[in-house]
Amino acid sequence: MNETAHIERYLHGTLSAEERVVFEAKLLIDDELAEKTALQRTLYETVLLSGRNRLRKEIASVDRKLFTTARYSGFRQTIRTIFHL
Amino acid sequence: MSTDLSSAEAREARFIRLYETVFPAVARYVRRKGGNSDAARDIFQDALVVYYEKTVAGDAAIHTSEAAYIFGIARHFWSKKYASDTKTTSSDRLLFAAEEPEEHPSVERLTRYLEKAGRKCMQLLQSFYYHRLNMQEIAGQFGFSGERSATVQKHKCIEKLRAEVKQKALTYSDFYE
Repeated sequence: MNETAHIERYLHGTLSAEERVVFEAKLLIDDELAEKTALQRTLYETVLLSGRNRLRKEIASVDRKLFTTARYSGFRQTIRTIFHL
Repeated sequence: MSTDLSSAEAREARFIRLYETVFPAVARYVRRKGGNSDAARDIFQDALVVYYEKTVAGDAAIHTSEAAYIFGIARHFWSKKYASDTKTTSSDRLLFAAEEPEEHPSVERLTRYLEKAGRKCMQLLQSFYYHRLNMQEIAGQFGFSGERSATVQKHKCIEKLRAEVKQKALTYSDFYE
């Protein structure tokens, strides 16, 4: 298997128990593999965080659309009534 | 109910529908608690993020009642962000403990850098890991010939951006803590 895919399966906990033991043993003696694994873990965290930030922007733009465009004036009226505005 | 959320357009349509169907109940709740329209919009946006992540992860709890689920999350965010003097119940805390976004300044800085260094790769990896599209959907969206080619590209992107992370790690010492 491709090394990158192997690291991924280790990080996502999908290696078999036996494969994991072998991988962890390699991590102890192979500094390059250990470094790639740490970097790949950081990359995944970054991808998830940036994915969430982009989704937040999509939602904020939907919110803006609903509260500013003529098309949704009926919706805004409902909300204004709730807040007695 | 359509379950497709794989494109930005599909997500927008879903969010608009949820504003129209669920937001009024959240607004009434916030109003009752003495909050204003801005607070209601703020917590509703937070709730939609949690709802989205649970949905693409295939969380079964959502399918029992989408509206009740979103309302529950919104109420949680109201207690947490706007009613700090009122106690959050312990069951709420347990339920949401795993979902608190963790803030790592260095990760945010790295995010901005990677989005510049490899925009297309970031989008591809987000589609797979965040939006949880399968390889066939990714091949379709990014114009690859098929699943196999999309998988190869995904690995190349991991390797390219992993090298960029390394480059940046040399500049900032606080990536590994």
